Amino acid sequence: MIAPIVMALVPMLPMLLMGAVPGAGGAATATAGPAVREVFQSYRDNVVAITYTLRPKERPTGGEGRKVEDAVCGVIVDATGLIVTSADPFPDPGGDPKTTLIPVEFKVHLRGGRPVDADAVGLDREMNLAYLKLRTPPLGIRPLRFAEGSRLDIGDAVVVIGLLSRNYDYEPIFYTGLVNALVQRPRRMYSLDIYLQDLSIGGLVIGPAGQPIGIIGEDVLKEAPSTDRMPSNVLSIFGSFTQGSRVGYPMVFPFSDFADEIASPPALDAGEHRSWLGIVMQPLNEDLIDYWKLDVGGGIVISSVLDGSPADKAGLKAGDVLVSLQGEPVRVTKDEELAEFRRQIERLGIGRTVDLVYLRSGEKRTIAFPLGEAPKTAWTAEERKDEDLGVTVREIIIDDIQGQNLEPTTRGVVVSELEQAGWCQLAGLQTDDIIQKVDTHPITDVASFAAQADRLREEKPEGTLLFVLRQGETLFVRVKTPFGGKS
Amino acid sequence: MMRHLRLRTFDAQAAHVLALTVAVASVTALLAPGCAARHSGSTYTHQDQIFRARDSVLPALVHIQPVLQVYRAGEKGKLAVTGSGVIFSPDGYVLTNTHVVGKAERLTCTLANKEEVEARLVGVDPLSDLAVIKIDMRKAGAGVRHAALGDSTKLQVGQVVMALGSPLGLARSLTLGVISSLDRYFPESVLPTGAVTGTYNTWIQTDAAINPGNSGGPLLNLNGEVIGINARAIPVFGENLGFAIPINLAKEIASKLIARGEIARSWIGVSWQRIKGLGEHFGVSEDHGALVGSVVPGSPAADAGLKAGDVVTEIDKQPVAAIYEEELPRLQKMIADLPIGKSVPVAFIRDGLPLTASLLTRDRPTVEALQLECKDWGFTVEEVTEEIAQALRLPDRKGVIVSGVKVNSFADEAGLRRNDIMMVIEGRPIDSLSQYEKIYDDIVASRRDRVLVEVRRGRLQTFHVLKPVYGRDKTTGAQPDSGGL
Repeated sequence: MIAPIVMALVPMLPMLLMGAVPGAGGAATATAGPAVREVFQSYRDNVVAITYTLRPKERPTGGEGRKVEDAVCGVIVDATGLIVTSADPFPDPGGDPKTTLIPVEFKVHLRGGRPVDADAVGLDREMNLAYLKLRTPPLGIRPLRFAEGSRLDIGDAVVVIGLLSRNYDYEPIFYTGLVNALVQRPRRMYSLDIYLQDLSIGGLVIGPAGQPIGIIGEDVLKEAPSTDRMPSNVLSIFGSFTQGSRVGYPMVFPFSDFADEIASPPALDAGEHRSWLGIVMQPLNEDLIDYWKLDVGGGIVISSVLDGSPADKAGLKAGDVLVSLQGEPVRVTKDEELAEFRRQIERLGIGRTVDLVYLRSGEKRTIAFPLGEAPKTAWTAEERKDEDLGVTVREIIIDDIQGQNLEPTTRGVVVSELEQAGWCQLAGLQTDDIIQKVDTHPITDVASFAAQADRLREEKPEGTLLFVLRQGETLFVRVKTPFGGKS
Repeated sequence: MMRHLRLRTFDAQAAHVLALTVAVASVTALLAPGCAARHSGSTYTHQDQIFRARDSVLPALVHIQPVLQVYRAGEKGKLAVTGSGVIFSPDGYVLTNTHVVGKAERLTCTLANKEEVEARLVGVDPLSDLAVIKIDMRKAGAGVRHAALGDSTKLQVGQVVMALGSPLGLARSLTLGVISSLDRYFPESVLPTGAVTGTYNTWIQTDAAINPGNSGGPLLNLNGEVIGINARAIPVFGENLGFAIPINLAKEIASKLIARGEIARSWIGVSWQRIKGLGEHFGVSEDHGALVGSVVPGSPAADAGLKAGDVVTEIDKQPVAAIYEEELPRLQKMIADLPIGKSVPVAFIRDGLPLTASLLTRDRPTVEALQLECKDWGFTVEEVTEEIAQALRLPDRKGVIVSGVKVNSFADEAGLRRNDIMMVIEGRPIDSLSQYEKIYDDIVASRRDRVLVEVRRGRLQTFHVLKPVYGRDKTTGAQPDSGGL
């Protein structure tokens, strides 16, 4: 008895695809599209659930830290097993490594198969897209052929293929809807008139011509949706994961905007070779604009110029107010807008000349200098775990210098993790300690620490003496080694 | 009314627990009669000793109810607490803790005969957590006398002791136990004000119940002599873990406080480590000397050329030994007792070679930072003392430090935070708290509604605009004399 009703409904759906609705127009709608079921069956295997575990980048003292499992939807785009998905699971760099959660252990759930391991291979924070690759792509993955240069218009009908939640084994689900807004900035995107549930962000969008046209993405909003800023790294009541103010409307991201990225995914960690000015920034808020009676719509107050950075070499100083970048006014008045300025600098790239207008003591000045390469962050810093000593160390980064108020010339390695009841923890070493010497050997980087650990393994002393900087004071920590007496 | 009173008392006690960070240890350890009976014929003797000891010290016990001036969350306020003390001289000097009476506006004392008298603050010493107050013995009434102070070097672990005081405000309580340890070492102790304390002594540990409110009260032996000043307990996890300051240190500090009102100490700027277990790495035997763990830049030790890793064997021709960490307080005290501003020889071993240098000792500043409430802007500030400058690793002592910001105040709105150093206000550089106070008064008097503040925050420099509306408390929106319903 149910079947006839379903049958009665299905023939109506292609009508939507064909744009046979009032107000629909444009060249694409003139092409007759295949039936929704055909579209669905053709592309459902390309839409996959990706599960992952979020854990702190660095384990907090005295425990593993919080672990969260979550899932996103992604689209397999080629036969090598490249997957495009949302960058939501990837936090902004620069957060506290002990509380900021990073995604690890990606598993891709192919329809009707066992989960397959995947690795993150690329990240585009500006587009909020991430790229994953299956370690062993199964045979028969159908590469997507994108509609070239196709544009959508208001009223165009599209099909979205997403996924149901884990409770329903990530079964594919489709939605049909109309384009109900065209967005031009920060780039061309299309809003849809449908409410997408479950795992649909990252899902595939099929255009009126029946060809894949883009994915459903969430735009990164510059401003948080309300005045109550969401604290970083909270599980929302919907169970989805948001990092800071990274929330937005679901929008169609046309493939044409990132086709080149699919051909060659952007580096996973842009931090590896980011360009930077080398300043710590404070937004020029309305109060400061008023107070200083400035005729600008925003700007950046330099809170600190990092030693040896491009800004330092160019002579910028704390207290200078940047008001223009590359001839365009800087419109930063709030904390959450600083990230966009940083991205602008990153987009320019290493070596490019930056043209700045700034105010010093009320006087307008201009300056141009080449951008340098940003130093490493906690995310990209070299790190090394020594299983025998029960300690993980990483190189000192600029955040340590700033956060611990250290001399910029401080050398050593930072204790980022200690094995519970491991030799180093038993000796009283603490996370964030900076190891400056092992016995009499100065430690300058991770390699020199590793060399000393190897020496200990070879010489097998009963104990070793670490010279450590802890909260600005030095001390000696004697670590008993597991090697002593084992010769 | 009764209900109201009870509530008030409990509030005060709850606040007391927080303010003094002396945690609750459970009340046990009463010597059961059966226990004494096991030593045949001794039951009477023990009980009699306890009575006699009690009678020697109880008349000297003081229940202190100070009203403290506190700066919390950006506001100046008052806090009623309870503590204990002991009269130790015929003319009414009372020993107690700095953390009991340190910032008292008023000191009301209830004596053993339940007579209530006001006391005068004689002197405090945050570094030892000891303090002396004075009551007028002529007003004390009958039945109040001073207690004798004993000798804390003659104590033994296992010796029976009693604690007297006002645990949780319950005045004139006596608890009984034994000395559990005589050389308990706490490396990092701080007072509720954040000031470092307990640097110069190891602690007498006892299982006689010590609770909040016992602070400042006497620990006595069976001879009825005060052998320690109860000061702390282990919070939350422990039971019957009370700690007292040895009376010999208290005697010395008290006499100095009475004579001069403050304690002068010398400072050389070294943080020390024990030598045990580390000697082999420095090529020294582990039976003498103390290891230099850290040298404060610009300190006398730095000027003398001492470095981390040096093993110091003599200071001012006196042998130095900190083989175990329990010996570190003695070494600290020996240095504190060196004459101030005098050049003293120091002998040390570096890379196996004996060397000498001379140290020019300096005064160790112990002044508690003065605070100021800026009611119209919603925060409190504190002067940058030498100690704070060192702790926060500030390049100088310029500016004033934000010690607290009231939630939703104008200061909060402007983004000011605790530990921000305010360097410049309205283009006027700040050099001291008194100068800041003048600038603040000027600006408030002129009703300026846009105030630019330049702040040093760690290594950063930030700007903030305060937008006060005078006569209105930002946090409540209430206006004075607004009447209303």
